Amino acid sequence: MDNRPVVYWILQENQLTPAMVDYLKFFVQQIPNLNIQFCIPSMWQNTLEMGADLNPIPFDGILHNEESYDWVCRKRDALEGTQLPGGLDAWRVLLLDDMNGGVVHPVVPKLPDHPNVKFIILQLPIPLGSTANEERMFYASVHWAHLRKIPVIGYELLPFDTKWTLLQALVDGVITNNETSYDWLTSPMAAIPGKVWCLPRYEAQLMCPMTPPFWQKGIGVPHHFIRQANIPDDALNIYIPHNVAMSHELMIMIRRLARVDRKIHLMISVGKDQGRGTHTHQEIVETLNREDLGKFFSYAFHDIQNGLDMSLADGILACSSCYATFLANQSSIPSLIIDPDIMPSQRGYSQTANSYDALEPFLDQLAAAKKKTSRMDQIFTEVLNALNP
Amino acid sequence: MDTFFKGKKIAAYIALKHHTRFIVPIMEKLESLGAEVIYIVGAAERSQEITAIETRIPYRHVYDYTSEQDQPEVHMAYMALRQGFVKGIKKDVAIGSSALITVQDKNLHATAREHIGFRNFIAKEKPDLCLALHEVNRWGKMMAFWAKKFNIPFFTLQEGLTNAANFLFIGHVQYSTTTLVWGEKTRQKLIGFEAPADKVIPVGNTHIATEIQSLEKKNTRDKMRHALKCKKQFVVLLLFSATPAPIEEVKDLIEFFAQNHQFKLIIKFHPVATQPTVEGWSNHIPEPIRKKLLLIHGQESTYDLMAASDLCVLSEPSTTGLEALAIGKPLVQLKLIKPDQYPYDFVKAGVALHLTPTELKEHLASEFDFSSPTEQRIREEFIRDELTDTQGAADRIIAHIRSAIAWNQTPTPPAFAYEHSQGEAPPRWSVILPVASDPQLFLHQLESVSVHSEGQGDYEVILVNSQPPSPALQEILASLEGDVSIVNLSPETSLSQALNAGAKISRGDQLLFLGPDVAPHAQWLHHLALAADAGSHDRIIGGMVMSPNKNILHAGMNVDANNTPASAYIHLDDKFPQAQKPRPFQMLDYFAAVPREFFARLGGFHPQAGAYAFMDLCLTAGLTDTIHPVFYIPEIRFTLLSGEKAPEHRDESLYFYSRWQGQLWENEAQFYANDEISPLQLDAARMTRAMELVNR
Repeated sequence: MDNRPVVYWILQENQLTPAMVDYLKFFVQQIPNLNIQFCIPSMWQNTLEMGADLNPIPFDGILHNEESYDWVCRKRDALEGTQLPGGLDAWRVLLLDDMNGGVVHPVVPKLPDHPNVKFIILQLPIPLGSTANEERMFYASVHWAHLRKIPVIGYELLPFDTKWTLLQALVDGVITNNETSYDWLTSPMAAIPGKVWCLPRYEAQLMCPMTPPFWQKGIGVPHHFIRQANIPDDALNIYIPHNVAMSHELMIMIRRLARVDRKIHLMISVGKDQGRGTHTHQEIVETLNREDLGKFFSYAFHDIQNGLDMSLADGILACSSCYATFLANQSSIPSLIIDPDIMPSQRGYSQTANSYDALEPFLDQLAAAKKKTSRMDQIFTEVLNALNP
Repeated sequence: MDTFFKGKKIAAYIALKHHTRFIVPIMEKLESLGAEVIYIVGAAERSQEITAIETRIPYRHVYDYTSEQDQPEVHMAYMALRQGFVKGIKKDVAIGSSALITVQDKNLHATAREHIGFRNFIAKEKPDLCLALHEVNRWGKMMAFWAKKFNIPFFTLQEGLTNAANFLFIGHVQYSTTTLVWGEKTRQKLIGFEAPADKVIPVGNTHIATEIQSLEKKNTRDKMRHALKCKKQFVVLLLFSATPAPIEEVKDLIEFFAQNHQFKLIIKFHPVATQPTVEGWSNHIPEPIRKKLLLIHGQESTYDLMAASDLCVLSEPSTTGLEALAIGKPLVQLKLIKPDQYPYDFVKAGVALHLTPTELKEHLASEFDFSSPTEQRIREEFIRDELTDTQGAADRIIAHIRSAIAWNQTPTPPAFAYEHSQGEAPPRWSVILPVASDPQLFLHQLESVSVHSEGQGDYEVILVNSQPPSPALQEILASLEGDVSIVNLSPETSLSQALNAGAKISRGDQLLFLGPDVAPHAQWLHHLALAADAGSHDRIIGGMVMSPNKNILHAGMNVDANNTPASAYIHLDDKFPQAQKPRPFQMLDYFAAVPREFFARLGGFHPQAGAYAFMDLCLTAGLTDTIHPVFYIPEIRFTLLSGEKAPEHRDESLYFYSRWQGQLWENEAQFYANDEISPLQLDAARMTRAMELVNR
């Protein structure tokens, strides 16, 4: 008998990618105390096939078409008191035309009535980009949950930084996949009543319509390092692509970074082919930076061949553009290159500065962004704790 | 040279192409009379700008009337809507299932911006009158709302047949000054549900007469048949609504046309049908058959196609059927498997045959004469009932527009001076009443005045008589004794003019105006004296009016949801507790006690007000500085002897609603809420009262 709390994760067509499937398979293992059941409407055969590894529960949705005066009255009564400036009743404005008068198309989803469902989670459609059937099933699922007083968490796949926020205001919590959406939805102007979260980059890049191969290959890598090195959530993960050709410049960089009053987990890349004399690359770095490395909250050396390790990084610091900064830029990881010999510039996520004055603002930005993020497992735990304080 | 419209500005909202065929002839006429005309469109996925562009109408977009400065207000409006919709969606599945929620969200934001845009539009352009096809869509509603807020008359037009369910016309005449309909049948349809009768005026169709003339003059039938290469064929025009008939049901019929070359089938899809719908439907017809048909979606004039045809066939009732009949085409309404659920159809009206597609095929094959089955007389009556008069509709509408603008901009009547002084010992009361048309009721009314005024102070009676002389009335008038004056007036005199004539010769300190057939109860002057002595000198006092069976007809006037006057506690027992409260109202009806000098300062009754005289005077009083200038005293009681108020005269209602467009705002719901009585309780009380009367 499985007594674990149940979460229904509703998936639909256009809402699932192979990368997401891999991530969700990984995620389920991350949170073994929960029974996450993926539910896919049976009309979405492609999605059922794509998500077969998630052992989805297919469910039907029965569409009704009705028209009567009773529906007019119900719509009117449900909008009672909603007015436009000057005192114009909203139902008078919208009901007969925009809201189809007495016509309704309710969909009844045949989701299993499991007694232990704690919340449902599903993608929120957006006004420019979702299909009618997808939306009908979305609303049917939300209504199904409302009827049972089950909280609904909606997440972002398509962009939320738009003026339309009705759906975000409708659900009990919203998970965004980028800082812009998070900032917008948490602003007083958007006034979203429920909780808003933002996924860290290494999860956000998987919960999106198109996942770059870097992130898909790196599923679970950051989680592994966080656990292994016991990195706290409030530590900044800074990745320095080291190269013995710039040992002195990098020594200065590490020294300057060590002086910053922040909790930093330093990640330093080293390569087997960069040993010089009797020293390995790692020994060179350790020798040059002996005094400074100890000032960091923690540090670790990463084989330069394991580029995916960079997926944990909140930001990259380098003394010159290099393969790592290129990869970071392509992978939406911010980088700061401090090189006094070239002009300052900004290219995508990559910033080049010619003085260390840029360091602290860069770190401040990273820290501010990181502070906004919560991992999916943390969000799930928070929701469950809120339900059972 | 008529210069009335010179310098006047008329604004019209247009959306779909068929809106323009009703509104544009009126606007063109107004423009030719010197008015400046402005067309405005709203924001919609089905671009309303395209309508204006294709019709070559210069237009403005409502968004152009919002700027960066309006953003905070737009946002606040959107947030108010969003909050209400979130609540509504959680409360009832009806909201979330009515349209896709993201679509609703887009509409909410657009609505918020348009609402501010329409306000700015009206405020900036200051039109003298606004026009729209109707106010049941959001654009018409918002424009009508703001027009009313800015005290600008707003006319709506209801196109032809109202074949939809009644409830789809809620609020059709809410903010409109008036709605102009084609015929009496439409009027009855609208008022049968909830539209105020006195705001719906049949005027006829603005364009069909011109279209018929034009079709004949241009010889359209021959030209079209030549162009469509069907000169010698029997042409059937099949008209589809938004959703075409199921293909499997009409497949055989379509094949029949392909196989029989003496027949030609033209299928016209409604403009609201989407391109994918039309294509999807058409693709089910095999290519060789399709080639022999003519499939049209919007590019040809429906009237031209009707002219070219020998028979029009509808898949469901629509206005087009009425137009086909007016053009003189026989009509068939298809009998499809899915039963018709329309509250109205041509078959029931006896002007169309009801045939299944197979039956239609058989009728065609047997060379059935489609022009004979429906009686000419029935068709003519039907068309008259639906279209009033197809000639001169635009001129009638122009006349109404002219009146509405003139009356809306009527200044407050100037104070007048009485021609005669009150004399040395004026009576306290001057009772002024119109001579009723029914001698018996009139006699009863006079007796009530006489019996119930005894011993309550000096009074004079002034009878204003605009009734045609009849022996019975002459006999009554000749028999009158005491301080009674009679003012004889011409039969065309309106109620307000007649009461003014009575006031002119009055001598009393207080003028007591009684409406037709209104008879006072005992102690009326006693209670009037108490009220007059207690309050301000500048106020109008009224009382409770009931029917002969003691149902309340008037306990003060509120304004209902359609911004139309409505009696408080109407149809309830005269002892209904909440109706016994003395209190101020915006308006009173049936009776008014007005201090003589105050009446003169108000300028008397407006001559045009007619049956609205009492309410009109109260609203004029409301423009003065007096606090609570209109007061209801329940102890002052009357019976309306005839039981019902006479029907309103349309010119009088147009005057009343045009003049007071900016003043009449719904207050009934708040009134009952203040009295702590819910709509449900009111309904229950009315039901109880009705049952009491039935069981009596």
